[in-house]
Amino acid sequence: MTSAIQTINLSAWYGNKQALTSVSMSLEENKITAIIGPSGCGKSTFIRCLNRMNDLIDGFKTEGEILIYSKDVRYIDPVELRKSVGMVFQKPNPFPKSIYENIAFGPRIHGINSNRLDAIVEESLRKAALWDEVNDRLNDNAMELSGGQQQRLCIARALAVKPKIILFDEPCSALDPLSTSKIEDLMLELKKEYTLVIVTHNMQQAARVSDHTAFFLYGKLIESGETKQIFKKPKEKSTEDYIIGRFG
Amino acid sequence: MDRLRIQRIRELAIEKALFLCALASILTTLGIILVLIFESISFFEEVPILEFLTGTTWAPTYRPQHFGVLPLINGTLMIAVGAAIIAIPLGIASAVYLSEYADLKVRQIVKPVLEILAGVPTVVYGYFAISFITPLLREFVPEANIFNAASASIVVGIMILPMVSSLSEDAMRAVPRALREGAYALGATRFEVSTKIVAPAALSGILASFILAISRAVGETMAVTLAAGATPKMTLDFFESIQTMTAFIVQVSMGDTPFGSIEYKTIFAVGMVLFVMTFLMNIVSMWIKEKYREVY
Amino acid sequence: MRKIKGLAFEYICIGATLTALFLLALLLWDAWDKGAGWLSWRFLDSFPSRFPEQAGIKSALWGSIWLMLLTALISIPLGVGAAIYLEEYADRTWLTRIIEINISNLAGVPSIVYGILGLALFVRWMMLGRSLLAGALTMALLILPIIIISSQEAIRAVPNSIREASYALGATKWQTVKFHVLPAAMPGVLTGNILALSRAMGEAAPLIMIGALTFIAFTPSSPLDPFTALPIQIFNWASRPKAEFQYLAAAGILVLLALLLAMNAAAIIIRNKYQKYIKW
Ligand SMILES: Nc1ncnc2c1ncn2[C@@H]1O[C@H](COP(=O)(O)OP(=O)(O)OP(=O)(O)O)[C@@H](O)[C@H]1O
Ligand SMILES: [Mg+2]
Repeated sequence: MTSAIQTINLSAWYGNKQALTSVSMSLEENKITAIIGPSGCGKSTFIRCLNRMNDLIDGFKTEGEILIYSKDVRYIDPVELRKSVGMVFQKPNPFPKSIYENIAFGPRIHGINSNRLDAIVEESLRKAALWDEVNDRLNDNAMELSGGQQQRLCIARALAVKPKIILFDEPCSALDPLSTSKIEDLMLELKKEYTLVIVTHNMQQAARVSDHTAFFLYGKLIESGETKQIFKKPKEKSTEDYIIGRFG
Repeated sequence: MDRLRIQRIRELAIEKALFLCALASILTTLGIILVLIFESISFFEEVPILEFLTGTTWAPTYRPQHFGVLPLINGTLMIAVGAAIIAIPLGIASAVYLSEYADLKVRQIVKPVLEILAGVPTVVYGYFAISFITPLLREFVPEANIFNAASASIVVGIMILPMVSSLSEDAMRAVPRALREGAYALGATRFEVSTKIVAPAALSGILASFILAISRAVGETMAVTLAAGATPKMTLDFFESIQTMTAFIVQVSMGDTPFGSIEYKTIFAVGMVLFVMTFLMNIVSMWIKEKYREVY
Repeated sequence: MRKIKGLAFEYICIGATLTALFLLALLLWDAWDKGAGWLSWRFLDSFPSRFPEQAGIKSALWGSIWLMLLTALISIPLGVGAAIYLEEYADRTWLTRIIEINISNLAGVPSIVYGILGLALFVRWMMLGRSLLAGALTMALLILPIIIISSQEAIRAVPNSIREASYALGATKWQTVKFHVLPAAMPGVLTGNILALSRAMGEAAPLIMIGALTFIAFTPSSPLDPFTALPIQIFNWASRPKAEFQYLAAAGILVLLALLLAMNAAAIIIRNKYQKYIKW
């Protein structure tokens, strides 16, 4: 089994405030890893380290190593890194442009020949299970889509740059149950080709979709392992407390 | 990989270019200061700085020449004070109305109108002064000069009124609701809330707006050139013709004073005084606003 | 008693506001009353003249249009560039802080001081003479702070989620700015720029300083030509005692105000049109 992502003693700070403490963890290829934990425990911080999104925040710094397919991210150009590690955010954030432009943007800036764009747009929308709903309105503004559609558009947009890994930061927390289940189905489909990491507050969701689960608390990784094991027989008391809702 | 290299170089070049754009503003300030200093220095080689700052006669264009800047400062301050007398009470009262009394609909109409008032070119105010205010004034005060400080003060006051009003209103609206609601809950009237709660809490912002507006009045040029006259003198009579620093600068630059002559250099010496005065006021205004940035 | 005091206070406040509105009405009415009769096609299409009946604002109108175009060409790239730098690139260092303090200070420098700078720097030192270009450079510096500040506000209003979306796809900073931040900020940027230009449109003092002429019987044909502008022509007429010239000044004011109104209306239309579209 290959690990797509590995962190070694990863610590992170916002200014003087420590947000992660010595997290060592490895995430497997073509699996879905769920990251759970109470609010403020560093879940977002953790996954935003993986594609160096937090580099954009003044005063953010890390220590330790992050290896993506055995390459230290510090030595990968962030542009290249983010091309292979895509991200989907909590609130759907389509560009205020046409559906087509939303998806074509990524490939275009990475120098893809423009006569291949149509094909990429269609392929990405199909993979994100959105093609049937929007194929006749590709030039409409993406802001006119429903929330769930917007989120799938954001997934399609991430797929269009052909990443190997996709990070989801609470992708369903702004969505209704139907849209949520669509996205969950989609993730199960996507893991055949991609490695997925999903941050979620929804225990059922973690149990439904993920293969592995990691529990964070106060910036520390408390435990990680097979989802079934974590949910049935957690090793740590605090994990159990959190899962059965005795926590924050 | 080559694409990445090119991209990185382009990114860097763009960042540097944008930085230069931002630097342009610093260069502007430096330019102003250097120009004023260099030309003033050569002015002060011919006129002792003490004579300039303390002399009470300003007559650079006829002989014997006198270079005492006090009459111009006097004229400038008269306009500033006169304008403040008009603009501050009106401005603050309308700010209270807009912030404490007016409902959304009224505000949506009144605010743009005030913005229009603020956007009227100063030369238009100058015209208004001589074509309307001065004749009207002379109906009541027949001995008033055709060019007089009062008319100019009035229009400059109207000109800076929107500034006082909108900046003060911003300061008052920034006072948190909770503070007002607390007072209303204790049975205070709107008058009491406005004067005893909101105005004191917003005091720093209101003061800052006064200073900024007065600084505007000090630097105002076209209206005073048209309406206040071109007679520098030490007077406090608002119905006499006077001259402000700005009006003097305009007068010199419209005449055909040769470059490099002492008369030409007065522009820069007077400009220096003007710049320093307005600069200090702006700094003080900013400082008040920063220092008392509401600690509710 | 408390009630009466409160009511009196309310009326005072309303009265003050009404006074401000009344003064604006009075000012407009006065210009209309005196100038409307002098407005005609001939007035727009004639050069200035010693004879009021023959005088017009052709050269001033064209001078102003030229001046605005050149000023826009210089100040908008510079100002928007500076705003982009300050909002998107600059770290919060002392230098950035100084630049920002300096900009808000510049916004309070009297316009005539910019005229002094223009006179020394552009007219004399760069030897541009009393040309349109010297005028436009001076005006550009004058409105630069306004352009920077309003563009910064517009850029700041673009939600961070858009930037994150772009970076997450592997876009560089400039790609993010060019394709997403600027287009999203464009309505605000445009509105601010138009308002700044309308400020320049009405300014006379700096132009007088750099020596814009008042009696020009031709329209400029290159940036190095001498020129006059509407506010200068108005100033010139207004400073003549003869009543007819006063009326000409009023007519000139009506034209100037109409142009300013058009610019402001354009700004408002742009703002409203895009506000409907983009709601974050
Ligand atoms: N930009 C920032 N600047 C300073 N501190 C931050 C910043 N972002 C997060 N933090 C702090 O870092 C800690 C971890 O935050 P993080 O966003 O990773 O939590 P989280 O687990 O994702 O929480 P949630 O479930 O609420 O999204 C928190 O204490 C938070 O206050
Ligand atoms: Mg989070």
